Amino acid sequence: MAVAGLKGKRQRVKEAAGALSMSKGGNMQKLGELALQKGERVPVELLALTYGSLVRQVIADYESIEEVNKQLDLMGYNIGVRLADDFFAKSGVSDCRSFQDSAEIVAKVGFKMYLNVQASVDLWNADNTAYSILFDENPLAEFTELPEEYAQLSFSNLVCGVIRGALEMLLLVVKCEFVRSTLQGNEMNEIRISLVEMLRESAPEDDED
Amino acid sequence: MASPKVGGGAGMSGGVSAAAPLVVGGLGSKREVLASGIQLFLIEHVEYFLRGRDASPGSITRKWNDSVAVRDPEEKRRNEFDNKLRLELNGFEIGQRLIERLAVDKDMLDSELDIVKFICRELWEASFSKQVDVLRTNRKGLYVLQDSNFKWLASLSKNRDGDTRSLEDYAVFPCGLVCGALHKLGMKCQVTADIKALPRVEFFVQMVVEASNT
Repeated sequence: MAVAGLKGKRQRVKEAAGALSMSKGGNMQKLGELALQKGERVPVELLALTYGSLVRQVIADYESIEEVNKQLDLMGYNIGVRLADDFFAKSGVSDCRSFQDSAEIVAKVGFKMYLNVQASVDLWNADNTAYSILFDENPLAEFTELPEEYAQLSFSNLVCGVIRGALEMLLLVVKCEFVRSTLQGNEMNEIRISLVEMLRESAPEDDED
Repeated sequence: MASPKVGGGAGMSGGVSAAAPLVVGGLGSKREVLASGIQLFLIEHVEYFLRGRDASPGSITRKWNDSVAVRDPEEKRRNEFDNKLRLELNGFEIGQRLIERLAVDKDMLDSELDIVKFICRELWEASFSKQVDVLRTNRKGLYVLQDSNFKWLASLSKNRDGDTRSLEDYAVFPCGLVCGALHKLGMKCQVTADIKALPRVEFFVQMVVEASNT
């Protein structure tokens, strides 16, 4: 029952992505809303409460806030790797081969489906290798206040890990971090995503067929 | 060291906000997300707790890293037991907070059966996006809640890495959740799960009889 290796998994995700077709330039916002409406839903409370308790536990378990942030990112990564399959099965998004495509897909469709928030893409850099996802409401932090001593804590860092893991399934290696958050008194949440490397597509060596 | 405040709002007994609108289905915010996303998150959440002291090699060191390489089987068993206990307690706390939010503005639940029915409907919908399918009781303090398609554990068996842990270990979390919710509504009980026939899961709620009740 072991989960197939990353390579096999990537392959499957790509195939799923290719199999579905959708007219280019289709409205991503609509896709996100549609996927959410069609799917089986639960109120976000369980997620928010559980996530808060998880962060508390990680803080209790690790020495420094830096390590806590890293650990949350790692857990998010594990989720993201699995979420990519689910995303393509449910979203109706056809293809995502470029870094530019991924921005709209993550912000408009992914955030809508899994967090039910409106997010937008902005602040592209000059050579189109970095952008920011902006959103004002953060359901993960709905019941949370951060004391001053946790100013360095990136409370919702799990989200960064999820994005990083999911994009890696599409052969995009990215760096992903919170630069602003409402928990730290900012008006907006901003996640900065920078392209590190585009992996080349290659046939999995250990493929059985 | 103080932890970040992660609270579930006003207590049931205390200041229940009068302004909260009466919403069918319980929760005020009405923000809904895809269940599949939450399921994947919960798997990771539970795995974090179960990893506990046996933190996987290569992960950054924890405070107790001196005990990572546990050789002694007795100690290993004890650690695993501790991890499960920690997870059950975590589920218990979340169940308490969640039911507190669900029960705001609801009528008093008079009987034990009403409370269990409330759990079968409201807690299940808020957690597992459906209701309990069959509720049975022997009228002597045992309730059996049968969910014939318990998606959370079913998706878990598809998604988890390796086979090092049994599904029973994972079931500790939903048992804690249900138990915490029942306790918050005044029912002292123990909750266990039978998951031999996935995706069907049966939760056994056994009332705990107290010797002296004040």
